Amino acid sequence: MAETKYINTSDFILRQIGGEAVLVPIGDAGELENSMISLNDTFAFIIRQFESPRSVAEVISAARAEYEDPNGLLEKHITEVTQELLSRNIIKEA
Amino acid sequence: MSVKLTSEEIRLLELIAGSFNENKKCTDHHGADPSRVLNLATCHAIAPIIYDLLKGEELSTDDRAMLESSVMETASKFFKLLFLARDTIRILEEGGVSVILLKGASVASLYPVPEYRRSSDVDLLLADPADVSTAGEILAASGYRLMHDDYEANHHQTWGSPNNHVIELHTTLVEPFDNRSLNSYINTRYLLGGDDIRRLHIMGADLPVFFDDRQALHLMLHMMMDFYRSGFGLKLLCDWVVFWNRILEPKYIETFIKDVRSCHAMAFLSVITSSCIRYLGLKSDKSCSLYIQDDKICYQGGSFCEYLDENICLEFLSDVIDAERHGKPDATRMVAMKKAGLGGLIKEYHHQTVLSFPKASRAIITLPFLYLVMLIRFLKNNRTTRGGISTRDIIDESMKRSRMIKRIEDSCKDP
Repeated sequence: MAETKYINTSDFILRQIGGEAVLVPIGDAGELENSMISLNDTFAFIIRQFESPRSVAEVISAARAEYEDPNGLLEKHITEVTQELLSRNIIKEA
Repeated sequence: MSVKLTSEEIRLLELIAGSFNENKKCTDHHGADPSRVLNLATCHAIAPIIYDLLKGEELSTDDRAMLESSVMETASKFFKLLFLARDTIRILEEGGVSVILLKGASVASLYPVPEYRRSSDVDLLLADPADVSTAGEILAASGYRLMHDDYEANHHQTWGSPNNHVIELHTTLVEPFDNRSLNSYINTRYLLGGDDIRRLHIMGADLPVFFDDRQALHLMLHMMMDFYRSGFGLKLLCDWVVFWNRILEPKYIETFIKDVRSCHAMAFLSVITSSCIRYLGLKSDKSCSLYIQDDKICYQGGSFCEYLDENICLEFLSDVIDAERHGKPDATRMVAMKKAGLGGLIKEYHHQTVLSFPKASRAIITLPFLYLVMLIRFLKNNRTTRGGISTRDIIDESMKRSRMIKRIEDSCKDP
């Protein structure tokens, strides 16, 4: 069975403000409405990956090409971030 | 008259020009103190607009932190006002009231980074001024509260949104000038129909805005209105630069020029556009909307306005920089009279009286009494709210600015 692919919802936009990546809710964003969420590099990287449909495995593979993973935590970290993005409706199944 | 700008002012102008025009070099620091440049940019609410170049200056850690914080705060406010505009417009349109968003996000969308343009409120123009009470009822029913009703004098109401942001609901394009035929022209010309409004899609918001001819006229009249009062700062000139730094359809430029001529505002158009080309990075070659030919600023369809000399542009820019030198106009800067001398002073005094007492001043018989009330109020405010400023200083400053206006008009063959 093909792995599930995810894509960003249209309820948020990713912007670069003052050298920092921020996520801005533009639709129905629940508790995040009227806020501007500063992202660390990893979050911003993962959200950028989901600009087109991607599976978690594909994002992990892209991250391995970009970042070092001395402690072997990359896969776990990306899986957790993906779950959080899903729960906050920032990404959805493509 | 020769005007000399400080090294910080020159540096700031160069940073603005460099931000809008990749061909403008800004490598010479002119010995300017970076902290003062930042301070001046902050007073003019444009530090975020020139952030990419400003961050390259030798700023202290505190200044850098202040700049970063100003950028984030401006962006945050931009989004709050963008979504407030979107939601308010939706509420009004659902109630059958058609409005146009003035400036704000519609101008911000022209900037390289829209979020860097500072706004303090949402300005909406009613397509039909007769809708003002219906619009008020709709807003009140949606949790907005009327903060200030300046409808009779200045044709707008100020509303507070449920999350405490300010919305100004306008019934005219700009507040009245001291010229009835000009006011009448603007108000008649700008009676709006559905075809006069286009939709702008920006960051998830769908906003009703002007086409480019009306947008240009509104930007210019807004500057002109402020100029004849306490003046305006560099932010409005930045708006003018980004507005023209793109390809506009000649038909819109043509309509705009016709309107400017009807408003007898060619001298003002010439001085703002010439200053923007000379010092603020407005592009002027044939690949853009405007270009220079035989001492004229031209567009594809013909002549746009006159290209004024450096001295008059510097004098004008010096006035613009002074207008917001401390983040707000100096107390002595109240008005600039269009005509110098006693005649200009009397005309301006009458105009201010009419603005202050729009209903009572309709009866000519009441005017002597209203003039007296105005005088008492003026003298009292000079002592209290304006911090003991001398009436003589205010009049001197007004006269000085009206002489500058005269020089601008004199330097223009087609005022």
